[in-house]
Amino acid sequence: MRRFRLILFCLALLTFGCMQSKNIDEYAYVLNVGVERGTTMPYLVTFLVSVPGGTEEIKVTNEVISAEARSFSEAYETLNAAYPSRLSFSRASLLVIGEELARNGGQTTFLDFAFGKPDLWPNLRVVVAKEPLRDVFEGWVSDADPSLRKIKTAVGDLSQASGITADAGYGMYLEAISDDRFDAMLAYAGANEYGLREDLVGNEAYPYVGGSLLVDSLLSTSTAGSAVFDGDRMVGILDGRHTMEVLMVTDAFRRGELGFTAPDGQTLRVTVYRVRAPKIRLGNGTAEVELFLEADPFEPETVPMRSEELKAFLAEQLAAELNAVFSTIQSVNSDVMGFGRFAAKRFVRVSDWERYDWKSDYRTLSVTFSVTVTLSHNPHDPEME
Amino acid sequence: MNLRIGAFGRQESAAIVLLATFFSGCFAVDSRALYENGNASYLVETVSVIQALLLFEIVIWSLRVRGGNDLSALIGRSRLKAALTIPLILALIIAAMQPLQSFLLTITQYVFVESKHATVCLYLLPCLFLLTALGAETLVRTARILLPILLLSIVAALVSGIGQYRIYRIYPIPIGEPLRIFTQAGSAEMRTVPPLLALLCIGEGTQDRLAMRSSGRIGAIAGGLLCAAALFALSMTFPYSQLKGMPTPFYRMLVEVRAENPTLRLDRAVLFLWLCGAILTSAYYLYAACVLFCKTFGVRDSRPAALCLSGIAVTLILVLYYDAETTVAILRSLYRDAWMLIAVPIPLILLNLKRRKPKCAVSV
Repeated sequence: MRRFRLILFCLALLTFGCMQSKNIDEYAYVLNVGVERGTTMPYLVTFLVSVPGGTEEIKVTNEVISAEARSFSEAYETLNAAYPSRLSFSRASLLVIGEELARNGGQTTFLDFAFGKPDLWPNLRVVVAKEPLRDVFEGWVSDADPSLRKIKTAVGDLSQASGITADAGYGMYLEAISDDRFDAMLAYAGANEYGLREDLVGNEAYPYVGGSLLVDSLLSTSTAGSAVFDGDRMVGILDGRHTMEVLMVTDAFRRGELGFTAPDGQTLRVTVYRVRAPKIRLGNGTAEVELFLEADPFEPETVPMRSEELKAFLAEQLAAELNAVFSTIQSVNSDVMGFGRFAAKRFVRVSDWERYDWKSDYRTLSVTFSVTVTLSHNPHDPEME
Repeated sequence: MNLRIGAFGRQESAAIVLLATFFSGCFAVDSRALYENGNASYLVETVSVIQALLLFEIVIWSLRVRGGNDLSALIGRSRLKAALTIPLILALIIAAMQPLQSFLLTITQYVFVESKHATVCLYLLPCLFLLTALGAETLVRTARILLPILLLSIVAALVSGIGQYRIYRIYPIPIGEPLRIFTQAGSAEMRTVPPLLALLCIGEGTQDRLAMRSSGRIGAIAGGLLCAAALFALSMTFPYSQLKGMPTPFYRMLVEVRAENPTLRLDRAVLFLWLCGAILTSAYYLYAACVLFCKTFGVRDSRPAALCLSGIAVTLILVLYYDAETTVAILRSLYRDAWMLIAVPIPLILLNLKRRKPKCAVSV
């Protein structure tokens, strides 16, 4: 009898879970959260919502909803009240910040919601996009992929596979704006109809930037290049190629394709791979960066150089381009290459480090780039290196 | 007497000390205080474990001098015994509360987001009471059984986070401020001393003073090293500027891993394994407090005290949660000053030892 009572007591405890239970069909899932400057209120908040269920043919429907508000919680409450399902953020994958807002640093106050909605942020990738975000979100929706599976991993996959965009999670973004050791570099997206964007470095005839790509596809929103920040303010855009070069220095680069003009005027295209982590030495007012890359030329039989010449040529070209990119981002006071990460090593007292203003030293920092290139295929020497 | 201490071996007692050292060291942390002036958490933990071990060795030496197997033998028949015991009991209750408080916060913020604190807390009371009432033998043998899987989960969590580790985040290492490290280590004794203090309370079960000493040493050193390694991993995952605003950094670390590798969804499974470890740790402290109370005040059954202390611990968790401002103020002062509950009575106990007069020979 005593044992029976004990079992009954234990079973009674388990019924607590049934209290205030909610059916999973009552939820709609927010996949993307967007924030841009509002017209009446400070912010226009846009959600891309995925609603499971529907008809037998269409299992998932996607909708873009938006509200003007003074804070995230106000927008959430407004939209939650005005939407037939309960909004859940457990599947949110992208946080998209409007470019105009990012350029004014207005997103920082808005993003203070992190502690209140901790289930929202962990999986988020942060992206900057040219407004209006409704167009950007609608451009990501296609009947060919109703569950929007691709969006959830697209930014990370694109960055890993080609290096033409930056991949920053929300945690990394918060670290960049709160810790002062480096600046944020976020993926850049846009709806394709908005025309060419200007790249900060400015030596490209066709800057490879999201929203200005010459593509005709089912998805009308494209992602390429990166938005560069100084603290919490966006200061410019780097195109795909320059993004790739910054990623090489921050050791976030894996592989990518680059084109160079050979001395004879011929275009030389190579696939570049990371060999090992770069060596960065930060001295007093100077820094030395050594990169280790492997190059694999396209159509090797047409390459007009022997292997040693080709390696020297690629190393020289890359070093020159890295210098140009560094000078440009230094001029806008953005440390996206992250030299500040090494500055803290010199301190043994936290108070000294906190008093130290890294950015004032960064403005006068002189950096020497050197690149070591190996070839995975040598066109004129029959042996593989 | 029905104190339910039982008898257990060195492995079992080392296992419970190891788990308690790890769970208290990693989860009973006030992030703001620990990371306010940079990140030396792993150094602080190491120094604090050394300090705790020194204290433990002194008490063991006193036991050898006086002749006894547990702390109550030292307190003996002192007139001050209530004054000496009550702070230690309070310290153990606070030590029991701290990891549970941290886990409750994690569960209500990340797992059962729409649940209320009190609803989740209701589940804890029966678990705590049951474990505390069943006694030391059940506790330490459960710890021995759970140890491999808990160690595996801790190692898996640390290894899966390797992709997130960045060495630059540990800088600046505040080796230029040794005084601050020692001060923080002193406050951290509220996390490192209770595992050994609880072992001293239930020392009778280890059957031998030497076994108690070696299991305490093994458990504290292994637990301290594991805890320091985990804190070091945490330091490489988040900069200290973020850590000081994180109430539950270890779970955040698991969530970050999930964000980077969606297929590696360790977070929920590991959280519930760790919750088991935290409940076991809390029950261990509460049971030790029960034994101390019963032995000092001559209560012959530990179960009423077990029910009482479990209730007090859970109630305190709830009270501290619902009055946010008071909670924060009280917790801050507890994390900062509660070590005095241990530091004051133990020297007094040791002083009491010196005053003891030799027994006079009775002439017939």
